[in-house]
Amino acid sequence: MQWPTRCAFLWLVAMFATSAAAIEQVVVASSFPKEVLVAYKKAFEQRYPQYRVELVNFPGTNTIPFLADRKSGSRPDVFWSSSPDSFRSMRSHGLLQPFATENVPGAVPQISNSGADDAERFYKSQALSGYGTMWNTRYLDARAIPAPASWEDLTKDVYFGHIAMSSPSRSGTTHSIVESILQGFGWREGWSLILQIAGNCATITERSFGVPNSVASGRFGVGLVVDFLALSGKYTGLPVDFSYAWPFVITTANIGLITDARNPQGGRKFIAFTLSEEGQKLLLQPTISRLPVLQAVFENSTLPGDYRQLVDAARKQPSNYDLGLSESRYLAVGIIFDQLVTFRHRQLVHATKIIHQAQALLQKRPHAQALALVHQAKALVYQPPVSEADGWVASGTKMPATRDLTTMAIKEAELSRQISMNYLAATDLAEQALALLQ
Amino acid sequence: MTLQSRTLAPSKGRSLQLGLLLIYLSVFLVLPVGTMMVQGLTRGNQAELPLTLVALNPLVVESLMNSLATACASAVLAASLALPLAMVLWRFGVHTPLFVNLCGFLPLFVPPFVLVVSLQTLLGRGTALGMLLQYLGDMDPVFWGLPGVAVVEALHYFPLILVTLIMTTSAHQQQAHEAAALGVGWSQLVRRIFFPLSMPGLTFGMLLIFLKTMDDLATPLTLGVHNLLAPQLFLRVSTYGATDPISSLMATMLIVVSVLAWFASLGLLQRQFAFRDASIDLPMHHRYNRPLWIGFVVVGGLFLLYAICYAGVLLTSFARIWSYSVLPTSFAITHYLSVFDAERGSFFNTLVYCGFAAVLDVGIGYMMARAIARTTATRKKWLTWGTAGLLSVPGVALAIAYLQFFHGFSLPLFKQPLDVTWFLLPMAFSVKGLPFAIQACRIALSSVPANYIDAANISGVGRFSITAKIVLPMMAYGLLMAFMISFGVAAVDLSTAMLLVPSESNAPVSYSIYLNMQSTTGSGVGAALAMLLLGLVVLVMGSLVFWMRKRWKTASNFRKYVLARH
Amino acid sequence: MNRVSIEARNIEFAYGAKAVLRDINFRIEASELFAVLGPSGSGKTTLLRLLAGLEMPTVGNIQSNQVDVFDIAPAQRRVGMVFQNFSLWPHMSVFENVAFGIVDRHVGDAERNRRVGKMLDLLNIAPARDRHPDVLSVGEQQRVALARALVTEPSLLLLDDPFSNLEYELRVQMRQDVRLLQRRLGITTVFVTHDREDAMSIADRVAVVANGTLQQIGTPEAIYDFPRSIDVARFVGVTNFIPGAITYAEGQRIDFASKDIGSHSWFNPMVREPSVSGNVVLGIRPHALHIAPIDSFRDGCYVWFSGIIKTSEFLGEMIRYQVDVGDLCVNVNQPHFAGSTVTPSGTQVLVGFDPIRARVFSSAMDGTSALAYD
Repeated sequence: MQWPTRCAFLWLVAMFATSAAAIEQVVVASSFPKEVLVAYKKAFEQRYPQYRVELVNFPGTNTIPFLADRKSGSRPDVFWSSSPDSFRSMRSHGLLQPFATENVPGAVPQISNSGADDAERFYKSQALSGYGTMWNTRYLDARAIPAPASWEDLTKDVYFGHIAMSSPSRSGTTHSIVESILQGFGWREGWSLILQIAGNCATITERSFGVPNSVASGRFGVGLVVDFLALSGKYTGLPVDFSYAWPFVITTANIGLITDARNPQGGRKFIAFTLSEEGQKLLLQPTISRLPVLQAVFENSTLPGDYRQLVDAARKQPSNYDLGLSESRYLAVGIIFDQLVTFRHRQLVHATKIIHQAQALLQKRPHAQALALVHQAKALVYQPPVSEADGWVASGTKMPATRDLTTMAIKEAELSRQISMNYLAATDLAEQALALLQ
Repeated sequence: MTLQSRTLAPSKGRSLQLGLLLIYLSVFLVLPVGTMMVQGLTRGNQAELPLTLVALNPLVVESLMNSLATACASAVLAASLALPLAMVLWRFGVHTPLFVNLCGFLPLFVPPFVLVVSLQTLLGRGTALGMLLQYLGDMDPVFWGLPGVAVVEALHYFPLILVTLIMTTSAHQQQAHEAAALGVGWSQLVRRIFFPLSMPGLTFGMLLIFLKTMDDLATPLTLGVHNLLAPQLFLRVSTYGATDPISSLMATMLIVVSVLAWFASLGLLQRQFAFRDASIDLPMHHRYNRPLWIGFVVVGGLFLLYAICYAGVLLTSFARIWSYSVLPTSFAITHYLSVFDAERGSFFNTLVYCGFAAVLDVGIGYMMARAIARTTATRKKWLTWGTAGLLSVPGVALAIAYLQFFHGFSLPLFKQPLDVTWFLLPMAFSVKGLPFAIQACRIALSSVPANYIDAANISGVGRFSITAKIVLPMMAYGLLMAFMISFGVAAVDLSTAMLLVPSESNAPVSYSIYLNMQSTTGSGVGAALAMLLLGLVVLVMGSLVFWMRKRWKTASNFRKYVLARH
Repeated sequence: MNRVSIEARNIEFAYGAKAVLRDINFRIEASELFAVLGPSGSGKTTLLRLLAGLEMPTVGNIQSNQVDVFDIAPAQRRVGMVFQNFSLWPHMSVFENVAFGIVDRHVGDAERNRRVGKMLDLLNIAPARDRHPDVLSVGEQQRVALARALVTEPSLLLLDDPFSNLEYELRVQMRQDVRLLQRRLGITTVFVTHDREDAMSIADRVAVVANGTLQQIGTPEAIYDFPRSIDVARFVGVTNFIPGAITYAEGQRIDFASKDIGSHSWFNPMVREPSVSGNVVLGIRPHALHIAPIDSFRDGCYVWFSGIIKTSEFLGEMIRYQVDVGDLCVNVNQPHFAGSTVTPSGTQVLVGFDPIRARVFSSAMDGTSALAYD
């Protein structure tokens, strides 16, 4: 045979050879950053050389369609995510199976009712974290912007164009932030706050990692993130800082075994590893920076002050985050945010800019009519397009059956039009106010 | 001299080839895309036509319009960058520098989002020029909005138009210079010779850019522009799954727009006067008065442009801490080391997928090239333009079609359904790379004179032996080119990869770069990976182009010698 | 139309380190049809390009009507050139191609159309005026190229191997057409070719170029009958070269000894001075040799020697024999009359020639000789 034919033949052989690998695979589906996953993969493979860990990485919000699409026996084995909502919905879709591991001794007692350990052992908590704001110290110093202390701070005009956040439909952690604001402030007020913050945002990143990435490099000053993303940067020497913001929820990163997985045995082994002392110690690496659930590990380490801050704060002000509510409107919240913010971000930013300008002028020189116009404008822009009680909102958790797609689509279209009109009207009003003030 | 062995009777081998080809095309192109289009256009078990639903939603319509506008804008912008350059080179009779040829091929093998990331680092508020020129305001690409996409795509792809322009006009460059020496004015030459001759090359380049911009997923996502058709489609599929009929409709719209663009430019493309004669480099007679410095200026300018644009990625790959300062505050080569440590897999994946796709492409390309060479003139034209029309299949739409069609479908050889394995990815790559492979194989085939085949036939050698021992070795270099082109096209295809890659460890290099760029501490690794990719492409393509120019020079000298002797 | 004469003095041209043309001197008269004849690689195309002003000679100058060609701007030079591959623009019609040749921008549209129309008529391609070059035959393409060159009413017309692309019948026709056209228009014309028939059949004067040097310039008859060197002789017509030595040369008598044909002596009334002795080469045209049966009467006017017929080719008007004479193989063209038969191979025959028609060259077959006799 000529050499080209020989080469082609070798290709095909190599192809099939790689697919028929003899080593046992454990497939871990997770939305964690690469550093965490790779660290655990290495440690696990070192501990149990007969396994090879394969990572499936996608935003946590994709899981249900992705997994439901897979036939039994072909699914990933382990699901590991920071978003407790997704675990609940996974469970309700029957995608998780209970597993019995040795009782993990000495886990941190339930410090929130966010479902740290599922009673029926469908999933276990593996690490703790909270949410807050992250900022770039050099950036803020250079521009004389004060460090934000709470979510409300971020609505001030001094932060206009300096914030970065992601979208709840693309990022589980952002979803938790948005949901906790909604629950903490109420539906209307919550959306108003979220929209004002989003109006101050310079960009909406595609994945949650885009936020700490751009804050760390100094592209933007402030970001809404989960603690470990910021702290891992801080402890590896980047000029960033972090503070928890109320209302926050102490979430657990949970780990669970997927129903009809390919290799349930291997999956169990992996889960046990992550909950073991060795696995928990990995969380303390500066590049990972998460809080372990094992109290022993937690107490015996020299953790920086920030972590204790989380636990103390939670003890003082326990949050009443309702996971069930969050789950029931999971999809809807994502869709509403996308329609309001992600797809129309430039319009939102433009409206916010004019409103800020008008408000700045009003402070110096009050003007009743202009004030009224500005209020009207704000009411139009910073409002949710549907009320909390709307039936559509509550139905948003289950994967819409194909039958419901029509309703979904019609609703989306409606939302889209309405929001578009609102923004245009609001911008108009604000410009009128501005004209009056000049 | 084309291959015309009509003396050979059609054999069983040929029918088998044809059969396999038909199966391949139906299973991996016609059926999935067709099913998806049907789903997108019909009611199914819904209450409304997807079309009605979409028409109600201003966002989808807006995305369609935006996509069209952006794609047209990027094509026009790229053309306006490339045309003056090509004209200058033509007018002054400058040897096409090797560097220009290389730059022309670069856009096909490097994904444009690397440019975006580099520009973000370069012009973003906290780093490099953005930091230095703060007083001028915000230059971050994320604030450019929709035009930003067009600008980035144009910047990335304009050398492609430059090279296609040079290819179509170089054949008559010497003639033009002779006419000028005999008294014809240059303005007349440029107006009446250069522009008409450049039309096919210009149209082809612009069409390619239009199609690629329509299909580009990573660039708009990285720029934060969501109201374009491709990112909307991607986001929808991630949320609702692939079986969503509205996604099908949007994908169908994407396909329809691409195909229409293709047809619209057919008229101009078919005036292929000098395509056949065009070589990458036309050896120019000794000329007095040839301003060589112009060549240097052009090369220097291009080099500077690339250096500036990719400086961001370069610095990121070497930076340990780079935050709110003009240059990184500390450097390290750890990123490159961790590439070799952790990302070996993605290089291997790239070799496997893209290699598999390229091998398939070359095989099919060769078969199709043979088939085309044998048919009648009209059918030849149809086949040529039909296969080239495959260019217009957008990767995103194809990926979605595959996800729908192969949903849960298992082959006996694989233990899992096809849409979970990596198998679909190379198949999609091969479909997308097919038009390039077919054209390259045709060119390679045309370099095998029919006399050789006839001589072998008469001597009694079997058909398979003829193919294996005579045709293939003579075509070896051409086939290698076809392989390289298909490989490159597959390696840079991010849109398809983002949708079809089942797990991260299966990611080919371009997707790996994208994923790495997303993490807090991983952007350095992503940048290092991107630099390695750039370096590899430059090295491989550079040597290939260099070698090709040498061969063309000897071939044309040989032809001249042969002609002169008679 | 300006009638120009061209004078080239001491032209040398080198391409890099390689010398292409050396020591070229010639003069072309006004309205002359001048041919440059030479084998491939002899530099004749380069010479043409020098005349056109497309290249500049490294040494020497070319003057047109006593004005240096390179002192005139290209637009004023009034040179029309037809390239070997015609160089027609593929995207323009015949009319547009020809009109493109009109360099002068001040010519109005009506005037332009008139001129182009006239030229198309002159060259008989008016019916094809709207077609594109790719659908034209080779002959038509050449006429379009010619029309384009002529439409500017140039003072110098240059043709680069214009007839080599044509098949024989067309070539003969085209040659005559070009000559008639040239006579009619009176333009000084230079054409370059490697085919001697092309050059000799229509040119007023021919210049033979070989190895970058000018070997001989003269009318076709002069070159054919009195080639100055073996090279020219060989190039202009197949010649038989018989090496030998002159043993005695005095007055009008020459004694020639050759191992192939033996020793002969003859009187050559054309002899002026026997200036050569020693080793020489005798050059005889094939048609100057006659074949007679071996036992026929040897006419004293001819010099006879014997040989054996090796091959024979019947060419209609004549029969070409190859005759083995000693170690040599001699070509003989024998005219054929109806009824005469071809002498078969292997026959012993007598070969004879009229000594007047033999030319003696001084050294043996290396082409560097001067003429022995004039």
